Amino acid sequence: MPAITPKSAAALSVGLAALAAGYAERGIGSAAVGAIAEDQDLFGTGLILTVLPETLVILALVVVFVVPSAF
Amino acid sequence: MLRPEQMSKVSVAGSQRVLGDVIEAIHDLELVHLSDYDGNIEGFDNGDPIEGADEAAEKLVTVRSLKSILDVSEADAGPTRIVTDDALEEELEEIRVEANELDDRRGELEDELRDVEERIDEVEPFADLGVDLDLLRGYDTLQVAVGEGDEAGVRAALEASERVDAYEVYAGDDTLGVFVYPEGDDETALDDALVGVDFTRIEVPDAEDSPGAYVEELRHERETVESELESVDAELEEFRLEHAGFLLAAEEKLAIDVQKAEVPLQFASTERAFVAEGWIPTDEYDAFDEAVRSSVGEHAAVEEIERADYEPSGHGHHAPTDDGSAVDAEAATDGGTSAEFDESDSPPVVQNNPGPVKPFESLTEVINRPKYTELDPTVILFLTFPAFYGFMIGDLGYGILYTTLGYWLYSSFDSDMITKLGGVAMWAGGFTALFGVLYGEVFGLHLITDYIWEPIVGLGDAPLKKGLHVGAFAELWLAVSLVFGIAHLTIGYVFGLVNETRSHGLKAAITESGGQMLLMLGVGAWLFSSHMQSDGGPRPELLYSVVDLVPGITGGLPPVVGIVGLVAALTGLVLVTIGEGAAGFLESPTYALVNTVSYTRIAAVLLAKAGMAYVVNLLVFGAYDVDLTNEAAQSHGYEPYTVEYFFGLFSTDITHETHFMLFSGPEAHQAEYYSVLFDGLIHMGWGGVLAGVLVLVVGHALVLGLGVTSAGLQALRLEYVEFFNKFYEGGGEKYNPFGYTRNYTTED
Repeated sequence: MPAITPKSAAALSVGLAALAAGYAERGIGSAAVGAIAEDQDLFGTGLILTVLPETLVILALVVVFVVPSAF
Repeated sequence: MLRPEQMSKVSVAGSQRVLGDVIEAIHDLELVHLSDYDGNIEGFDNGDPIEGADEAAEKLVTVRSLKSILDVSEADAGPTRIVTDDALEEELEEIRVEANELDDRRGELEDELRDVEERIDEVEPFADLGVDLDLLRGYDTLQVAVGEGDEAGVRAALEASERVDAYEVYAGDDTLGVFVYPEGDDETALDDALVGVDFTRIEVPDAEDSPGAYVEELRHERETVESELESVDAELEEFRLEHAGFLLAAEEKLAIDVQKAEVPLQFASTERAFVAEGWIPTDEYDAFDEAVRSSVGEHAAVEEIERADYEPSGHGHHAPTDDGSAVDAEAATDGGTSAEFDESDSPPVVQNNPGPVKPFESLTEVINRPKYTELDPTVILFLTFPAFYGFMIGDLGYGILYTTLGYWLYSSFDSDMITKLGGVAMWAGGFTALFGVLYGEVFGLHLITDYIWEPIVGLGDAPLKKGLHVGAFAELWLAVSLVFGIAHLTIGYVFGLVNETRSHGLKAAITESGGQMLLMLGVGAWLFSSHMQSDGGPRPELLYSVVDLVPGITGGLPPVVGIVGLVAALTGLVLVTIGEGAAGFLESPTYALVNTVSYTRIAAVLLAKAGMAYVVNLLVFGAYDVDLTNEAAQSHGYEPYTVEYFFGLFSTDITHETHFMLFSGPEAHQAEYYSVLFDGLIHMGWGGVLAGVLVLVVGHALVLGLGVTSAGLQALRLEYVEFFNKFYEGGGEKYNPFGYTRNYTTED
């Protein structure tokens, strides 16, 4: 009997990835806002840089589907 | 559509005599984006400002300072008017004198008020102490200190000091008066005793009266000054209302005068002649030619020097004009040498998209304006962004609200950016409503399914489902998202190939964009094939659900497609490594799969949004679940059934049904084959109904708002990060034609 069921493991993996993405975005976001305060034109670049780590969560989501017993 | 508007470089050469008329003509036209002459042609210097420029600039400064003194804002503008030079001269002077006088008076009164307030602050502590001022100073033997501090601490310190013979402390509410008779002639006895005690000394002011009466007098003075100040402010306000319209109009006129007077600085000039160069949209050349000719006749020569080519090229390679009458740029401007009017001159960019696509230019500009030589991706944004958005939210109710909101933004704001944003919101809302109809949902309730798709069209369910209850759809949408991704990225790579080929040649294009594209397409094809998939294989079966939608294919693409895909991917990997070296090799997994997988966020947001709307409705209306395989349920007319979705392309078996309890409460669903998930607030008496309405409104408002930040931002991210990064550089120059859009003045 494993300590956690496959489903909980899947949920955990997505949750932890989201936490990591959030932590990464925290720093980028504050730097981006600082840059935008200096120069309004950097809004687009700031937006792009801020959302980059989000892919982490999506990749975790894919892992859930690749491990068949998890869903 | 994919190209900005074509620009032509034009030049006007003429004698200094007609300079003013030419400037007038160009200014009225508001079409020419002037190039800056950088002074490199022998014999030609930058021109001097026309006479009167300094004077106009000076007056402009006066007008602006008056505007700030009087606090004039755009809202004060009156009807548009003609401002003549004479009126400007006289009226401006009158206004200046009077405004300055009023302003000076206001300044004086403000100083006076500040002074009185300071004195009040000074004396107030002594009024509090209640000791007359003349009793606090002028002693030979007594030492006196007045200040704020801790009374007990002061007493203790004085008691402890050996140099103090006798002392007395008077205390008001906040103020202490300390009198000390020192031991012998010790002049610093009091000061030293108070060191280290919480006590802040206040100087005793030079006045004779009792401090209470003095403060009273000062307060009266303050009232007088305040009322005077009020009356001056009222006068200023009246003055502002009277002259605001004139000041705004004068500012505009002077700004235009200065603009016209200083523009020769951008021209190449000799003592007798001038040459101006600039860009105008090619279509407008005739209008420009006509305007200059009708103004100065044959005294100035107008020429179309080149039509800017969309091919990026080095300097000096000017394409000939269409009619074959190629004009040599150098010869036209300087009569023989090879120097250029402006070395770093690139045509300004006016995005050229049809009406419906226009609003999406604002989304492109968030990143940057496209370069003149670059493909403009706005039309692809138009084709994909609203579709992604609508697919993710997919609800008729929300769609109508988004469209309404978009229309409000579109119609009630002046700002170009907000108007365009409104246009984008209307398109996104339209697609949300469209997908809402296909999903059969209004605010998360399956009303369209219940009242249109099932009874009228005769389908078993809505044509599409979000996958919250029909799990097969959740899997299908995940796989479909990948296909969306591959298609979207392919467009991006094709754009990249075109741009790269134009700017760096075919070889660079193939080793960079081409390699990445092969890698992505190859891995994508392998992913959806059944190569290596015997005995459970490496892929989740759900991937095949999307290819199986194609008639004639079941169980994924044939293995041979997978092998071809792998070969293509390997070729791509080699090309990328050649093109970008080790960095390209290391980044290859991103090109191959990560970008594609990133699109599964579409399915994720779709499910998350559906889930949120579902929870709101579950709380408000309650819901029950029916197990269709249950025998008791079957004896009551329920049966598992198969539904053909996608109008017959995709079918799945339904064994459970979930229904909201819109009309009948939980008591009607107590049979054993029902399981009530939640009773629903509206079925819980009057209090429940009230709470239900609140949850309904707040909940759906929340889903609506989060729709913008989740679906909107995620869709934008796919456009900006995944799509734009494949080809887009941006950095085009803004088209800024010489002229002025008049708001407050007219010319005749």
